[in-house]
Amino acid sequence: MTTPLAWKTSRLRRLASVGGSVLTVAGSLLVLLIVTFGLNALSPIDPALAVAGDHASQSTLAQTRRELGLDQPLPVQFLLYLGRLAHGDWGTSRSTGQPVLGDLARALPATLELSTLALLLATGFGVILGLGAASRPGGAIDGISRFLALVGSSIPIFWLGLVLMALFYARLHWLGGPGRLDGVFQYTVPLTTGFLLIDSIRSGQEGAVANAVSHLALPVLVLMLHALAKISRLTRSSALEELSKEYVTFARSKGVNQRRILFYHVVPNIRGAIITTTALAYVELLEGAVLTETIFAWPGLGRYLATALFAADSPAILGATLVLGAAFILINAAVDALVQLLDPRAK
Amino acid sequence: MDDAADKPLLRVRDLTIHYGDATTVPPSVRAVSFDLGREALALVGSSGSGKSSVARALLALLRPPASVRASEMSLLGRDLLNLSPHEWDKLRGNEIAMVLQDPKFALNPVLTVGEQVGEALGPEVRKSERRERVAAALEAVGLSGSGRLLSAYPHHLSGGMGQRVMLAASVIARPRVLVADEPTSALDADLRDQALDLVADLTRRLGMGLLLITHDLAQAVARCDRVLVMDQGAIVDRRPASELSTSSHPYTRALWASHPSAGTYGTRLVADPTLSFRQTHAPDAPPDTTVEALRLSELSVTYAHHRRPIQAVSSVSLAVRQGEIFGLFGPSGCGKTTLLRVMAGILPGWTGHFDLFGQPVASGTRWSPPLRRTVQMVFQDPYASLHPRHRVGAILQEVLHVAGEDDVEDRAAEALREVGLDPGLWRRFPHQLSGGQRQRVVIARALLLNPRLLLADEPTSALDLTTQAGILDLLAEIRLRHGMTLVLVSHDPGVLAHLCDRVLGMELGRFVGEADHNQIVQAGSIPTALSRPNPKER
Amino acid sequence: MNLRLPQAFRSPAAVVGGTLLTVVILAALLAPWLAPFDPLMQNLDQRLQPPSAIHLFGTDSLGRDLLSRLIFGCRPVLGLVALVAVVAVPFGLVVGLLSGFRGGWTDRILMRFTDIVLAFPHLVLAMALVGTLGPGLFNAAFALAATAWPAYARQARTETRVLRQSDYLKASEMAGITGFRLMRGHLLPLILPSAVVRLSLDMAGMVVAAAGLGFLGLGIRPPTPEWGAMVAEGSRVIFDQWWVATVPGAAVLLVSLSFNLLSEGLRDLWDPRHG
Repeated sequence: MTTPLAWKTSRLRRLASVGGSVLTVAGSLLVLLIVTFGLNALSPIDPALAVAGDHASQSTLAQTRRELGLDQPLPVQFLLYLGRLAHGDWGTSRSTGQPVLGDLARALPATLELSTLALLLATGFGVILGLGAASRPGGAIDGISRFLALVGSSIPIFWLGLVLMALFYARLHWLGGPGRLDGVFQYTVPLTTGFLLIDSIRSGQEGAVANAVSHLALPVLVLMLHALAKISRLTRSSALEELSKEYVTFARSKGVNQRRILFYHVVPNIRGAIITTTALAYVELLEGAVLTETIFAWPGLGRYLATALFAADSPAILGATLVLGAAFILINAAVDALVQLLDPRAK
Repeated sequence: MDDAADKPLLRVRDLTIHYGDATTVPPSVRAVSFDLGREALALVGSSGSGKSSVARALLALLRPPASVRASEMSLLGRDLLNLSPHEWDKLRGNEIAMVLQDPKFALNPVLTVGEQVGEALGPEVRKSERRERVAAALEAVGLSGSGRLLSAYPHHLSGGMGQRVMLAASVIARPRVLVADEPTSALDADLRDQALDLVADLTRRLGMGLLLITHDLAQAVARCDRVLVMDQGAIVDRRPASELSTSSHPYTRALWASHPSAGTYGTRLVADPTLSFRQTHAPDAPPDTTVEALRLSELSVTYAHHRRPIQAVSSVSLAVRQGEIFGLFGPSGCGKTTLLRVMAGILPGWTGHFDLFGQPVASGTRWSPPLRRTVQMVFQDPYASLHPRHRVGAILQEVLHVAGEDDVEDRAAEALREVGLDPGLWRRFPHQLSGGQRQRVVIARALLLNPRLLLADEPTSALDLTTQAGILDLLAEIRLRHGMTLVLVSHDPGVLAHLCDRVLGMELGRFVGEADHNQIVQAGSIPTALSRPNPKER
Repeated sequence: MNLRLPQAFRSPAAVVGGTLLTVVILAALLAPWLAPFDPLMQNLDQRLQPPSAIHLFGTDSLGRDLLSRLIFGCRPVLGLVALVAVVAVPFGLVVGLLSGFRGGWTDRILMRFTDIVLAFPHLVLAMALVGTLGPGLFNAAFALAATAWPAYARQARTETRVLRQSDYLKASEMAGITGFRLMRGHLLPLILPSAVVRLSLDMAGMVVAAAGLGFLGLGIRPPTPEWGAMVAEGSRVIFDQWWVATVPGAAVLLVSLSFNLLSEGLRDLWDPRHG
């Protein structure tokens, strides 16, 4: 079987590929920083004015410029920029007047709560739908899954959110409207973790949890649709492909039943593809959150970014971009590593 | 119906299979009927004859759009035609089981050997008993039942081991009938006999009925009690194995005759086997010229693979005379294809000496167009060597265009005619041709620039027996008509024994032996002939 | 590509998608003649009228006819999608082809570069780009194209690498066909179909993404009609005058759907059968 020499070489090979991946991730992060820095520099608004104020004199402005390092060559400015970021100085938002980093920290849990819930539901339903569709092609579940996949990937979520809110909130009063909680609860439920589901449970308030859920329902539903479409479509096609392979025929010839074939034989083979797609869907969810949060007035990163865009608030825009971008890159990298780890062929 | 050795285990009457709508599509399998007792029964036919469909239908493994009908299909008296999926699940593996062709694809890559061998036992069997029975099954097929193998994954196994694992997995629950669908086709020639012996012995020992599906008549005859011959979906001949070679049925005779071997050397495989076409080309005649077609001295090829160099070819020397048919033989991975590619000039980076028609060839440089034209190659899989989006005519004409030739259309049509194809096929796409037709187009393309040396890399392994016979005849014809030199690579000793004047054997990149036709006939088989020391050669 | 017409009809998805798209393209081209009203003409005493015989889809908050704005809105959508396609696809294909064909250092460098760009969040980047540089069709298209091309490069490279080893390329080389001629005449026709399938799928996403940018005010500048921006305008009156936001959103849905259907149809037609 495997000789010691082969084992060592395969270890070396793996280390090399891991090294390569780290390089790519570092490269991506670096490019992200360069881009945000570049956009910052290209921004038409003069940062010296912003700091010194509109009524500052020319000499004050000149001095501010020197302090901010604006008279230095660009590469030096970049390093200064990196330094500022590392020290937690991500600039000040022009609309809120607060430091950007603090704004981002406050907004993050809301977005995380929304997107994580959406992802969990999308993956759960998506995989089950996909497997069901593959095991009986042409059947009822197959039809439903294909319909959902088609519609889910064509529908603009900002529009769907509006329509659903108009229907379920304004007309039918079944579900909660904009925001995370009704006014009543907003002041009585203390924000400890930032995750309202958890916080409302801990507060022990009657009806708080139900209210939080009713507010979560629509945004989560809207957000998860696209991910659901992707995941179910991928699960279905991967499962179908595996089911047509010889090892499934051989397993059947041994008397293995359909359920075991699906879960024991097929799923481990498509695990990697599902995980990769789920991760990709997660990052797309983070992007979709921008539109969803805007519509549902959800105080997360997305709405922060959208508001900043409307107000042309560069520090805020770039701060949010950095966070979202870095999350994107890191999640992708983590998933790649995970998939490699799980593949027994690498052993 | 037939004379089964015992009371029949399996009874099949009028089995008919349609792929698609029965009213518009002709059946792929027509009214097949047979009995299987405690014996080895061979089902023989070329690809497309329907034999694999029959095999799968016996285990209800065919899915829509296939529809299966029969007037009777029973196992030990129990009707198989109207079982529910649940009942089939219980039957398969326990009463009737199957072994497939290629363990690389038939074993699940993410499950261990132990898990897959024990799977047929079902969930009720307890862990301790399961482990014992898995170990016993592995030992019955000649593998060790130790823990190492049990926790290994399929990609750790060699082809032969994988096939044994598959066999163990299918017999572990002691089914009464085993269906083996081309169980050795994916193995190297030297492993096939062993593997087949194992299957036959095991099933005999366990008192099972064996249905062996194969396209190889010799295999069938050697190990089975009875043979059924299928052609285009129907059974055309039934014989005891001993009587097959003397059967009067025309299809069986053609099938038997298209089997290449040392005994058919110098004759056509298709049409009248008694008509020899070598009357003007006696093998012992002195060579026409003193210039050899090809000479290699101490040729080596090393691949740098992930920091660990692999010696694909080690110091091989050979000489090929003009007008000769020279063969390279060996198991897969022995380096014969690499050597052929060096000769074709498409593999740079070799060391040693290479002389082509008396002129030395350098390693790193690209061949000049005139040199390029002297050597052409026929590849293994015709579908993979013809561009799927180019029409046949375009494929041929492009070669002529690039070479700066004129009269392109006429020459392309002439080339098609020469290989026995209708020139009207020029407007077809490769996927619209049969395997044999495609291979003929490949040969036509190779002949377009009038090469002096034709290299063939397993030119017929992707073809079935009768088609192969036609292509082998064509190659011999070309040698005769053009005085061309041929170098042929194959892992099939029958093909080489039939066609080649001399054969060189390789293993793990090294020279193993060389033999000419007479020595092969004397020794009885190519592997034996190669292992004998050869005082006449260098 | 050998797509004979009767064969195309074998896939209902392709037919439906293709038909819808043709309608949209025609609407964009013939807008000035098709639209009943001037899309920019405001009519304040006709504001927020529900759908009627005169105004088929009603009017918006400035009294402009919604149907006319809808028809003219076909233009920015198609324009943006076409721009992205024309920029991203050839660039990606060339990078992928070269990378897969040459191998070695060319491959390594190009692929590292591609991976880095691939790991970028396109929508967020597009927002940041447009947000800082200013809205407009070209900025949005450039941003989307810059993050779309890597997928094509990756796909082209993988396919080229596989094909590189194939026997028919070796055979062509032996027949004397090499280099550029090989890449253009032999490799390109083989990698083009899957690129086109991917493109039609991407376009579905682009349409929605572009509308999203428009919704956030980052698309083409008003008062030029653009569906995403129209949804944004309508969102303020959604609870009472639902049609102002619903209709343009439905249009986005339909166009995206038709691209999706077309891509499914193309995949059915091209991939399994003709290899």
